[in-house]
Order: sequence, then C-alpha cells, then structure tokens
Amino acid sequence: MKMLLDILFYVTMYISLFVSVFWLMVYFGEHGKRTEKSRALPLTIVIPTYNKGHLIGKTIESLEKQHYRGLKILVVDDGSTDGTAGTVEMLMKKHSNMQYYRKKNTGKASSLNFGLRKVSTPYFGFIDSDTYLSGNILAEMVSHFTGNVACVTAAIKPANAGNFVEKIQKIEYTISSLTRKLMSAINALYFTPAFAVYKTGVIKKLGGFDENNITEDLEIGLRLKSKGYDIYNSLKSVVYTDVPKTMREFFRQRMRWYRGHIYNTIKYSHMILNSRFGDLGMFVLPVQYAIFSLTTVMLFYGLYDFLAILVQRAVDFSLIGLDLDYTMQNFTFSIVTPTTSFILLLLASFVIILKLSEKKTHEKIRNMEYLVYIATYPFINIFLWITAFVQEVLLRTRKKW
Amino acid sequence: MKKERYVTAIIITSFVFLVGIIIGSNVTSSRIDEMQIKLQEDLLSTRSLELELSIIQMSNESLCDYIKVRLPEIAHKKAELGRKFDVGNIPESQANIMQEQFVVSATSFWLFSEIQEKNCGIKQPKVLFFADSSEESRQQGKILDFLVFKSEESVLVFTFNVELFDKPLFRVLKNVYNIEKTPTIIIDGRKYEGLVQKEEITTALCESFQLDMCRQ
Repeated sequence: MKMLLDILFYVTMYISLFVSVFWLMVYFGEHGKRTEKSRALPLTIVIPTYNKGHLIGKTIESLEKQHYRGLKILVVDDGSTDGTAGTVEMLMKKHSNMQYYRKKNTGKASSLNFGLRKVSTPYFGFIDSDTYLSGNILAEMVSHFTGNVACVTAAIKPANAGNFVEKIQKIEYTISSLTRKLMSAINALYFTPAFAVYKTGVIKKLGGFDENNITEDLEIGLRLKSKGYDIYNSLKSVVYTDVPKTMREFFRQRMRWYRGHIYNTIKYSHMILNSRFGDLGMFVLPVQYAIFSLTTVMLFYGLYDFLAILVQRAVDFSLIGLDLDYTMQNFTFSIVTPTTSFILLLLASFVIILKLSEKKTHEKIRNMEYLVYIATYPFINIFLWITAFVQEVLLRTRKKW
Repeated sequence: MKKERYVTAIIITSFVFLVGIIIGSNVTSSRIDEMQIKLQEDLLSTRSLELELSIIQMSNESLCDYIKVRLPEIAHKKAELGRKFDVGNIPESQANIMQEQFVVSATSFWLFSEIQEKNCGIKQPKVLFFADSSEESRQQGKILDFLVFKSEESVLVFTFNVELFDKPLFRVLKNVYNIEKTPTIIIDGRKYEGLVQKEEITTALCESFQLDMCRQ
C-alpha cells in the first residue's frame, strides 16, 4: 500500500508539473497574438429570463449602452411571476430595438431555442438576466469571428464580492478567465458560460440547444467542438454576473454545474484521447480528470498524514503533560518531506497562476484573500465534485435546474 | 496540435523532476553520511574508553575515580546520539545496519556500566527498553525520552529493537531477560511489560536510585 501511494505521489507530482509547464508555455507563446479590428455585424442578443425582474433592467441597459449599430434585443420570459413583464415593457418604450416574448415555463434551454427561432441576424448572443456587459465589448467580440470560429465568449467577473462566499468566487472567476483564454489559445475551449456570441447558421444547423441538459451552455460548447468548430475567448470583453451570496446557494449552483459537467463529459467521452479533436481530446479533457482524481487522492493522503501527526502529538501530550522546557528542546518540524514538497509545488504553481490571472484580468486581490482561498477552496471544491459524482454516476438522483 | 510544445514541456518537466529527485537523494545520502559519522564516533569513544581503562589499570590512579568522572561524559554523548538517531526515509537495508551498530554500541556501554557497578559500587540509574515499531513502543520511547530529559541525563536508557532478534547478540539478550512482548522495560532487575506510564517509571527509579528529580 505504501509503495502504491509512493508511486501515485510521484506520478501526480510529474503530471502536475507537466501541466503547469505546458500552460506556462502556452501563456508566454500565444497570448496577445490575435488582434482583430472591431466591427459591427448584424447581431441579436437573446435574454432568457425567469423571475429576474429586479435584475433584468440592468442587463438591458448595459446592452443599450454598447451603442452597437443594428443591435436587436429579444427578451424571452419563461413564465415569470414577478414584475419582469412590467420592467421590460417600460424599457421597450425607451428603446425601439427590443422585442418581448412570454411563454410557459419550460426551462432555460427551451427559452433559448424559442429565441433562436426568432433570430434573423447572422450572429446572435445569449446573456443571463443576472449578467451585464461592461464598456463596448460587442464589437470587440464579433470581430473574432474569423475562420472556423462559431462562438466567442467573454471574461466573466462577479458583480458582488463582499462576503466570504463571494470573495472565493471572485478569485475563482479570475483564474478561470485566464484558463479559458489559454484553452482558447490552443483551440481547446469547450464551454460558453454566462455570455457568448454565436454564428446563428451554425447553431441552427446543429439543432439548437439541448433542452434536456442542465448545463446547455457546456453541452453546446462540446457539440461545437465535436463538429470541428472553434470557440474563441476574448479576455478584453468583460461581463459581470451576480454570484451566489450564501454557501447554500453556492453549493446548489455548483452541484448543477458539476453534475452537468460530468453528464456532458460522459456524453462526449468519445472525444477523450481522440487525436481528431487535437489538444482538447489529447490533453485538456483527459488531463483535467487525471489531475483532479490524483490531486484528490494526494490531498486526502496529505491531510491524513497531517492529522495522524496531530493525533500523535496529542497522544504524546497526554503521556507527558505540559512541560515547556522539554517541548521547546524537542520541537522538530521536518520541512523537506515528500508531502511538503508536493504541497509547496502545488502552492508555487497556484501562486504563479493567480499572479498571471490577476495581471491579465486587471483584478486586484489582497494577500489575505489568497490565503483564505488556498486554505478552503480546494477542500470545498473536491467535496462538491465528489458529491456531484456520487449523485450523477452512482445514485443517478434527479437533476434540478 | 503542436507536438513540439508537448515534447518541450516533457523535456522541461523531466529536467525539473530529475533535479528534484537528485536534490532529494542528496539530502538523504548526506543524512546517512552524518548518521554514520556519528555512529563511528560513538563506537570509537566506546573503544577508547576500554583502552583508557586498561591504561589506568597499569598506573597508580584509581580506576573508580576515573570512571566517576568519565561515565557522565559518555552518558551525555550517548543520550545526544539517541535523541538524534533517526533512520526514517533511509533505505531499509542501510537503516537495519545502522540500527544494529547503534544497539551494539549501546550494549557495550551497558555492559561496561554493569561491570563498573559491581567493581566500584557506582549505581547508575539504567532502563533497558525492548521495543519494536509499534505505536505502543513509540509512546514508551517518548515517556523514557522525557524522563531522561527531566533527570538531566542521569538516567540511562538502552534501547533494543526486538525486530533485530535474529542476530546472535539480541538472541542472547532476549533469552537472558525472557522478552515475550513489546514494549518491555527493565529497571533494576524488575520487568514491566506493556506501556508503563511516566509516574510508575519515576516511582520505580526513585525506589532504586537516588535522583535529583525524586526530590522535586
């Protein structure tokens, strides 16, 4: 058992190091290569909404402030029972480029498909009604539709970052913005969260969004990739989204995301280790699951090791009692052990990723926030992934939107 | 998909990994060297003591007076070596040899102190400790370490690893003291089996020896 754990330990170290080196090479080799001239092509933005009357106004105003020539805004109300209709109708009086449709409550993907059928422009985007745009990003995003690109995604930042739950998400979003950018640099980006612009013809040809999927934005991304299309990420285009404020809301959201991720990975498992899908098939998809599984095992092993030492110290204390002279003279802390080396390696990679993410996203994160994040997030995240795996694969419990 | 990028990443990763392994093995081998030097010094000092005593016996000096001065010095060095002796992370074959050397040295010192006790009446507080790699033995070792510290090293602890009992020296010790379980400690000829708490050991030591810590 000890030998097996030792082998596993070195394999994890090697893969973690390899992945860090690989992404650093991508970062220094590819970033900033692609510069396209901004342009305004006919575009429709679909806003599927359900009981977000208090937020949708801000989303619509952020779109209107883009001053994008020929922009159409299409609100699909999925049977809201709050004041959504009133808010939208009031805004329609102010803006002539808006259309409002109300339908029975059938879910987000169904609302998207409803909106898609009404789209007549060559490009369309969809935005969640709790998300809003910054600056002039639409022209920037549309400018990236070159070659085989069928979708352009934006960088997402939390709109609220006051309490602990929001702050850890702020750091998480900062890192994932850079991750998406790097994945996009090697044509391996496969998800389209919060706000994305698509080629209308391609999405219609692929049959629209999967209405039986709890993460339709991930599913459409994987479908696009499986059919040979590219997804581009524009780090310059920033959108802000309302993130969960409480741990309960956070857990609920992540359970949906992670279960959706597992479900869709199984659905598109033919892409894993398939050279036809390039870096996505041969590197990104297999490595993310390998790293996650191995790191989980090693983290728990490290934690077990650490707890075993704590228990041992507690036993020693009960045997000897409190004797400061003896404790001071015999206190030893071995720094160079395989476990501490692994943790240091992970921390070093993590700090590099954080610093690069901070630089690229122009986000400011305080050292104390980093510390809290490092000490808590890996364990929360691993717990959520394991729970999602158990629910999705082992128990097959009913999915909730 | 750029294959060159993967190849370069593998080369860089392998290089960094190799450097890490080389540094790690150097740290281990320098620890082995350090421990071996300490063991050699210890064996030399035991051998030197034997020679010193032979020379003293040829002169007019009192052997017992000399031992009274010399014994605490050696006891201090032995205790220091005992505290620092750690074969964790050292390959098993080397660790076994080092443990054997350590115990051989401890045994010769123990024999020496036994003989002097009979000849000079110097009654040195001693604990024989038979241990294995179990948690109970580790705990017993901690208690004994603490008592050595509290007695300001006037109590000597001789540790014998029963996992080395297939060696002739240890077979003899096992038979002499009839060791059947671990941990076992022997204080002034009395045998205690299983984990013994510090209070019980202190009482046993204080009954047999005059120690400063017994007056506190």
